[in-house]
Amino acid sequence: MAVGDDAAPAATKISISGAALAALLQRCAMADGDCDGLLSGRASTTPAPPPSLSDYDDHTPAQSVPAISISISGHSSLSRPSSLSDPLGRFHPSAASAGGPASIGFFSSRRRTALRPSMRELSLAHSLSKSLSLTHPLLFLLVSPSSPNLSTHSYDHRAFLLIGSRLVPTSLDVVNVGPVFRDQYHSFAPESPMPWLPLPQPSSAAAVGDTHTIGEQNAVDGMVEGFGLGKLQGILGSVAGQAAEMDGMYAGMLRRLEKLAREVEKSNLLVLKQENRNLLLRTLRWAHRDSHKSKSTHDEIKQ
Amino acid sequence: MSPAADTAALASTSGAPLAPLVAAQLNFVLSQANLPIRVGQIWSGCRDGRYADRFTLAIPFCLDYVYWDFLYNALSPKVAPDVVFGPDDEGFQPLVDFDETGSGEKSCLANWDCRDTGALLSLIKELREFYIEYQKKRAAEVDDARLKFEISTVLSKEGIEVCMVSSNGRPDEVKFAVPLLDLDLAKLVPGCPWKLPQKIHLQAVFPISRSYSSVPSAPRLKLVSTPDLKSFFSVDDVKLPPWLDGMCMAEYLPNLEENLKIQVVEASASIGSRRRFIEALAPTFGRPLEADPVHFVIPLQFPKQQPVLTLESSQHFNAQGLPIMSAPVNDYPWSPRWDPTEMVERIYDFLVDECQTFKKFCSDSIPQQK
Repeated sequence: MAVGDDAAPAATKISISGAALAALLQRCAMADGDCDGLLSGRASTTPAPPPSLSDYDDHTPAQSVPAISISISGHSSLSRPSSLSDPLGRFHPSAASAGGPASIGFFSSRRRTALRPSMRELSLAHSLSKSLSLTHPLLFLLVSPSSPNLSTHSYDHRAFLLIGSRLVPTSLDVVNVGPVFRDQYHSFAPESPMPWLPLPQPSSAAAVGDTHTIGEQNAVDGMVEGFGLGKLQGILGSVAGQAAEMDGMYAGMLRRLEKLAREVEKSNLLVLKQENRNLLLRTLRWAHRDSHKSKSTHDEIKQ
Repeated sequence: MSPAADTAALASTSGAPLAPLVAAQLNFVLSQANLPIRVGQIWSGCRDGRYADRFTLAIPFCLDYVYWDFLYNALSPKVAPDVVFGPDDEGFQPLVDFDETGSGEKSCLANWDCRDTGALLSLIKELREFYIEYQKKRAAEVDDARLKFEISTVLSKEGIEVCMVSSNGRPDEVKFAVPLLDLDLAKLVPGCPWKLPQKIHLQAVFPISRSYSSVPSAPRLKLVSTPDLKSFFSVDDVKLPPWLDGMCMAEYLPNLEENLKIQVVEASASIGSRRRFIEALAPTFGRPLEADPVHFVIPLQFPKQQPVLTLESSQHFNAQGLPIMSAPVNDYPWSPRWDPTEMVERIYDFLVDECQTFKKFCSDSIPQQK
């Protein structure tokens, strides 16, 4: 547990997707007053980076500490203010926070106030960190929306990590599409209780149903009792068929687009050729006229 | 301050009025607190900005002020306020300490009653007490042998406040605010109009020295009094006893307090003698005065220092049409041991002669102007 752990987790990386941040800011801006709520997401310990090959002998493996990467995926909040804690800042779990996705921290939005944790937020951070039993430092996101008029909104936000007994300001990466985004996938582990259902082959349709293990059937029973795996695979098959049809249609549309593009390309080429020819003609005509002009001036001088 | 003045002072920057429940609590603080708490900015945290619900309070601490933002919620005024402390006080975590010591139930926040107009004042008092303790703890952690000694000997004195002073480019210092004289000054001054308790403090600022070899330098000492006291006793006139090398505050304070006590008692006695002097003036000088008026300025050190007299003519006027005034006179015969009647008679005798001089001075100055 990270509470009271004074070891500096220097390598804690916090990120939030652009969409999740936008949704959170929208929530804060639309609230009539202050609001707060829980942040959900996941924390993963990325293994230490492989020792980089160095020409220097004194290269010390300083970065052998595993880095923690915390990514915020969403938020949940109630419409009433101070919904997370009592006046003393002690966390009281509410209906919204119970049973939701994994909480990694909380956020608080208050308009036109200093971007420093308040007395109650600090206490809530301690209390929440204890009750969530996190394996990483608790995350606190402080938002201060301001809308000087209804058409402009500006947001100040600052992320903090509960380290030791203090909330320490930390940088927050906003992840949009781009090379940085790939890190998200690298730390992503697909986990699903659903058994692997390969697409039914039309030829072996009759044989389906016997190929599944009891364990796989149990996993499905955990969600819907008495719903045979065969049936599920049937649904999947018909959906897969539709998907194949859609794929076909889409491929046809792409082919058509390709053909149109080729035609446009060809006609463009023709237009270009014609333009070049026009240009050549125009230059020739100008040259011709100039030679006439210079001749006549010569004549005037002579006279 | 009258209630009307209070309400006028509570206008927010945006012009929105404070939410009524919050305004009642803040008014109570301003009218009932026995500390000079001041309101800074008042503003709204709501989207529509209809009601203001947050404000900055300047709370007296260690002969200075700390500025805390109190955040209510105009949409739910029943919810207890939250507080944002100063940027240097991130280590001040009163609610976390409550949780750790299990004493949270004693806090006024545990049973917050929004209709109790005194709720905010209770919260401020509670937080201020915690803040004093927090600063004491910080000062005690300073690695300086002399300061550790000072703190261990003086900190138990009632009402003492200590704080760390850090400023850019200067080494850190520790400031002590030591309340002096354990007597109720209001009782010394009969019929005094003071609303808040008056007090004299010794402010001692100790530089932090990290080296053990050098002789620690003397602290910067200064007497500070509450503002209302100035009409009765001026601390600027007090000569502080010298701080000798190797001295500590526990040694210094008794001497200073004794010294100060004599002067304060003298000052209160001076009030009585000034009153008797004024009463003695009437039979001799008449009431109302029909001759040229005389102005008396009676110093705080009366009767040690004699009154300053200024004569004003009722017949001669200067170019601006104002009565001609004499220069202040304070070199006439005087003894603080005379009784009030004798003082007045001597002044009267002096003025009989002085009047002639003044009259001549007036008539001389008139032709010059023409």
